[in-house]
Amino acid sequence: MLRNQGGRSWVSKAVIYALAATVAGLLAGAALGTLGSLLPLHVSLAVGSILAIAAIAVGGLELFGRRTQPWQFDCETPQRWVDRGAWTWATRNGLTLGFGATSRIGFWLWYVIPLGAFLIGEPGAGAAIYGTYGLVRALGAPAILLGMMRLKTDVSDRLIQGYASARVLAAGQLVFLGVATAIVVGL
Amino acid sequence: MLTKPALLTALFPAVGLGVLVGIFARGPGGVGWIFALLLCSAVVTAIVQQTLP
Repeated sequence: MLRNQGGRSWVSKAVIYALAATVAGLLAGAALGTLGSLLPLHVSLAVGSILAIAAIAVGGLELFGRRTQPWQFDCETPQRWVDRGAWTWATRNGLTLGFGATSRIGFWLWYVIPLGAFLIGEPGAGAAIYGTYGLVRALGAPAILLGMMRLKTDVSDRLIQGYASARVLAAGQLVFLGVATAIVVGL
Repeated sequence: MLTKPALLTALFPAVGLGVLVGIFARGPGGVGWIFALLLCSAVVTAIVQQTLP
């Protein structure tokens, strides 16, 4: 088994990292869903309709080449966390990336997660939305590691090269969600 | 700047699918559909963020 950084196996770090990211997502989503449940239904529907139109506009502009940077802190997790031990590093990184807001967001589509968890107006549903994000985002790291071990190549470099395609996919998803939501709640 | 093929492969299918799902989801089960779309968006977001440097 591969070992590094304090003798901890990468599998144990990956599990802790994924758990921490999922917990961060679940907690953030549940909190937002609870807050959203305080909103009257007609307000949620009105805000949802406006956001659906905004999603179509932002996604459409992106696909027409008018790219705007999403509001974000645009920072990576601090390197000094490595010095605190392997499991602490995995936990902190997982919590930060599972929450997402304080790290590099990169795509307007990210805002769908907290806003969706809030407007859905149920703690369980909010937790499911945000928790799914945290889990899938965390699974990326072990998937990249496994890919590197199997393919003997730097998978992360290949992923970064796919950024342009990812932009198209994210913008398309934003338009898709916006159109469907606008028809369901607004039109 | 994205090319015309990128627009054709992303914008039109996204609008078309959105209209289809939106019409299909209208009615009492609408919230469930929106929830499913949000889950799908959460997965897509997490995947596309793997391409960030």
